[in-house]
Amino acid sequence: MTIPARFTEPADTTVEAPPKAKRKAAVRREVGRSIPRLESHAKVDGSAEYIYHLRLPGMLQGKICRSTVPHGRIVRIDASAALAIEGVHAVITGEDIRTLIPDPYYGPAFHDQPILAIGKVRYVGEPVAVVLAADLHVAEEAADQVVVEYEPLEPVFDEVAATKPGAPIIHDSLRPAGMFPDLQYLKGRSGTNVALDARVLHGDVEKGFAEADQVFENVFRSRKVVHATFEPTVSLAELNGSNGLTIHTSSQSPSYVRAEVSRLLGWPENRVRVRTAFLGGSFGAKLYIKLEALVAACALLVRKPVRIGLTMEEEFYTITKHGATVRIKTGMAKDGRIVAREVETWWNGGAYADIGPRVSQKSGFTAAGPYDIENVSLINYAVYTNDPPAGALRGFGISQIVWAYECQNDIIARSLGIDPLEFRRRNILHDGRPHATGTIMTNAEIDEVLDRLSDRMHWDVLFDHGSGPVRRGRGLAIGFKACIAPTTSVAVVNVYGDGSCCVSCSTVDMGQGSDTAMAQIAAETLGISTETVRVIHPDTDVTPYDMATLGSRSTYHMGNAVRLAAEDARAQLLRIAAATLQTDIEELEYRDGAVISRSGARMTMRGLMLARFGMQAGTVIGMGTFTPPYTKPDPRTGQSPQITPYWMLAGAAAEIEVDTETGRIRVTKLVNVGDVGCAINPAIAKRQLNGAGTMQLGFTLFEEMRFNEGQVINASLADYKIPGMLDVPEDLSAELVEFPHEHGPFGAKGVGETGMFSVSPAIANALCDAIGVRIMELPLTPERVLRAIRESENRPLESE
Amino acid sequence: MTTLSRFEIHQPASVLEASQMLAQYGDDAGIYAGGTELLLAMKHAALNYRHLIDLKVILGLNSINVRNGSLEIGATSAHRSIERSAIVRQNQPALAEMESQVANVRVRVTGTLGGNLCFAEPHSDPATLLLVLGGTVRAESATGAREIPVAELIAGAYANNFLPGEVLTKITVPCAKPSHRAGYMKFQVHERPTLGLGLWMETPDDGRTFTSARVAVGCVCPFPTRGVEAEKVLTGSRGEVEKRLPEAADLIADAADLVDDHEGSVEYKRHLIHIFLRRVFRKALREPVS
Ligand SMILES: Cc1cc2nc3c(=O)[nH]c(=O)nc-3n(C[C@H](O)[C@H](O)[C@H](O)COP(=O)(O)OP(=O)(O)OC[C@H]3O[C@@H](n4cnc5c(N)ncnc54)[C@H](O)[C@@H]3O)c2cc1C
Repeated sequence: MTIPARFTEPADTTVEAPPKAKRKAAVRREVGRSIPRLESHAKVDGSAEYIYHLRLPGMLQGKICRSTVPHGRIVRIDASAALAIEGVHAVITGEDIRTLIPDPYYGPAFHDQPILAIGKVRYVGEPVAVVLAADLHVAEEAADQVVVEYEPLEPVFDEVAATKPGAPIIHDSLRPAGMFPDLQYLKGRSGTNVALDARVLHGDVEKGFAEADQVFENVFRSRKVVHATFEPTVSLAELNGSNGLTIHTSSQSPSYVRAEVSRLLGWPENRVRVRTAFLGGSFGAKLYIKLEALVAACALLVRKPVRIGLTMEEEFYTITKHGATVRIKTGMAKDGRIVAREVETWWNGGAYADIGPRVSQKSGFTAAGPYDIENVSLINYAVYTNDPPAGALRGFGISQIVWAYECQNDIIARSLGIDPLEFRRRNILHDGRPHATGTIMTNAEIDEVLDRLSDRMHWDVLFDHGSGPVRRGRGLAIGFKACIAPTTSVAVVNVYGDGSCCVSCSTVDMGQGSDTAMAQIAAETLGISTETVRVIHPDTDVTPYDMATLGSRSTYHMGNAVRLAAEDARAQLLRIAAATLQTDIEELEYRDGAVISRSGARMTMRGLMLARFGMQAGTVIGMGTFTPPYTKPDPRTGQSPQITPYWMLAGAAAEIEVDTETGRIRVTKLVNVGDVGCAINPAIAKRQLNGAGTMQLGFTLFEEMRFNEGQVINASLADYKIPGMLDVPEDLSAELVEFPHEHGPFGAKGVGETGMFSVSPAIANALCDAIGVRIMELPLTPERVLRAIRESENRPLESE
Repeated sequence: MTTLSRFEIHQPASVLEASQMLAQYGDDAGIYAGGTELLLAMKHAALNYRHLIDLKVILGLNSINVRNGSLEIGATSAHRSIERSAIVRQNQPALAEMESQVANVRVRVTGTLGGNLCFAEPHSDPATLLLVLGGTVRAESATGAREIPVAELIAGAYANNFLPGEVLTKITVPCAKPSHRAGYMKFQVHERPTLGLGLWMETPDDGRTFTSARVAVGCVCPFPTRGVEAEKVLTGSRGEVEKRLPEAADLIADAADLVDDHEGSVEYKRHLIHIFLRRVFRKALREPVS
């Protein structure tokens, strides 16, 4: 994939935010309305399409045979017993794939992941072979019969240990992918498990520490967790004509899948068609290549349609959230201002890079927090280990980082005797001030987020901490994220002969409500009602390019593309009417399927079609492309005048009860405030905040992948608990901060991840408020809390 | 394996027929009650049955009655129907209350008490309470019937002591008497409980003295375990018993084979026994627990 020149052009000026008073929303009919989701009925009556349910005529089902060792050489694969089972069509190995694709390695950041293991395995659960059979039961039975002999190699699991000299090396050399030119310098680097070390240097951090009145240093950790989407990952491939391939897949990034499968096959992109449907959740699990390359290769090898659908258990071996170790050192001035901050983060990326290096870099550059700090040094190591691969999970690494800086900020505030809210106010990074990357902050409503948190929590009112075994506490935290850049979205709005309209775009509705939002934007622009708009689901033969549905970027990027496309269609219709009515375009308005002039003349859609096509039929196609400006940071210092199109600001606050006898935390109140620019659909935006808040609550209190020598020992929803109804706080609420972003569609920013950022530290800070103990590692399990209590009382648990 | 393999369902008209079917298909057959454990175990190939014998279709096997001072609960009674049964609430309220806390309402509507006991899942609630209430089960087969105390039913984690062809038909639990105090409490963070603790005491004078006690712990160990030594120190005046609760807690922990697992370390589980013995003691006496 080559990068269009506009991606790399530096922006000429940094954007200045207009004064807030001027940024008031205009009167609108569709945008800003809490319209029920367009697909709600279909989801309730079961007619909504999910790829997991798709069956193709004559298809084979594939079952993956997975590695049982965390690191080892493959000595021998013996498929004879599997092949002897009646009904087994074929057993495919990495060597078979090579006959079709000589270099079968894929990945968005590094071409490091083989479609099936070749010569070596790097984690327990890595796909080694696939058994194909018409009957899934037969395929499963046979997959157990594939004999693989390994010569074990020493594994390494800890992200810090993996960077130390003498650690086992997981990849012989680094293979950066072509998509990110800034990673090319890493090509061929060998003898390391560090895929990327990204730095941001701002001011003089040594000098800052030297001048500080007090220095704080802590290490915070978070463990690996999993997306647990209710529709597991699934892909099907079938031959399309004599030289094409169609892939049906539960993917968040259909355009990327087309490009990457084409690259692997050495085909032009137009021979690969990728289509998706509704996704039963995703959260970053279904990005880039997951099963698509595998089903494509299998279908081409056996010349039959092939389906591979994972079980929930297999999800745990496919993609996870990064575990992270964060060392954070902060220099304070007497007056409670942060003068220097150094953050060093080790990201446990597992055996294959996936998008990990991007997670570590793009989240890593925000690691000092939304604070105005003169001297900053940030270092991020994307580390290979023998764990399952880690990638994006709703927040792209932000929650691991916020966990560190917001816990430490509370430690500092308490130690200096400053109220935690006041401490944050004193250090906020205001609009117009440079962030550590040098980018000037704009449209970042962090003051407002803090105000709303304070109101909702009645922060000024004295809080009852309780007495007896159950103690109460409250805590808050704020966080932010820079939307990923550079990226592009393209949309087409098609107005048919009767005035009805379709939006074609490659944004994937995976439960976040994007279909409804896109329809609202098109409807607002075209003056029609949202309920009449149809959104065509991604099909790369039909819908235009989109970078991917990730990183809370769709509302802003695709929303703008849809707005532009609708404006383009409207302008074409007005031009037809202007020519027919012989008036100025300015005199005309398009509304409810007709053009109306100020003088009262009216042209219906039929009339417009007749005028344009000579008959009462036809179509008007509007197109919109949106690429916000971006300037690549200096690789040495991480400095850039324009690092992101927009910042997402978030805050969370919690009230908790702690049973000091068992260590159990009960969250009684959780408030999530998100700066969303303008909510296209307020009800959906609030549900995103509450949904994310509840998801992060699970990551905070109990979710944790547990390993034994690389083997996940709780790889099922029976053993890996996700939040249920009874875990949801009685008082769960979300609040939207709405100051329209000057470049957002109708002022909107993204909101999908915002509710994740601050929940964990808000709860840990509440725990400290309740009982004075500080826990530096997630999750906050009852045993961990109890041990901390006992240690603080100088009678550790063991001594009982 | 995580896809259910193929099987055939058989619908016996009587327990006798069910037992004959078990004998006919041998290792290839299993009893199917609510299926809430069975189907998961089959999905993971922990059990491989080609023939399932559906016990729920046998009429009368889910009845709940009182006879001779005992509750008689048919093996296919669902947790939910025991929880809501007026007869159970009246005659053994501790049992009804424990049942109301099993799993979630979907599992309770489908899962049966018989299935729960037969499966002997280490993280199960009912057996721990039945141990202290003095419950027994009836096993029937084509060749006869026998009564087995709950303590002897469970052979270990996921293992019971049934003979080939035996079907559990009935659970018998002595009714509560005015001189009895009983309670069950659990501590749960994940899908299944971390700890379950059952306590039964006899008091002739409304809680001033205790003449006998039974206590059992579950979930922290491979199978529910009576604290026989602990029971000895749980008699005497209320003041004495309360003072000896920590000692009793240690004796319970010593009796159980505590396991270090994702629910917690051995030390933590021992600690929880201390906390919950005190709480369940208060609960049995219908006092606020903390
Ligand atoms: C999500 C979830 C959460 C749960 N949480 C809890 C909890 O908190 N506490 C708790 O105690 N339990 C819990 N359980 C377990 C639940 O209580 C049991 O699944 C249920 O009671 C089992 O009954 P069943 O009728 O479904 O048994 P089945 O699944 O039908 O059978 C279980 C086993 O017993 C055998 N069997 C069944 N009936 C008989 C019989 N009459 N005679 C001989 N053999 C028989 C079967 O062959 C099988 O081997 C949970 C289960 C799930 C799925």
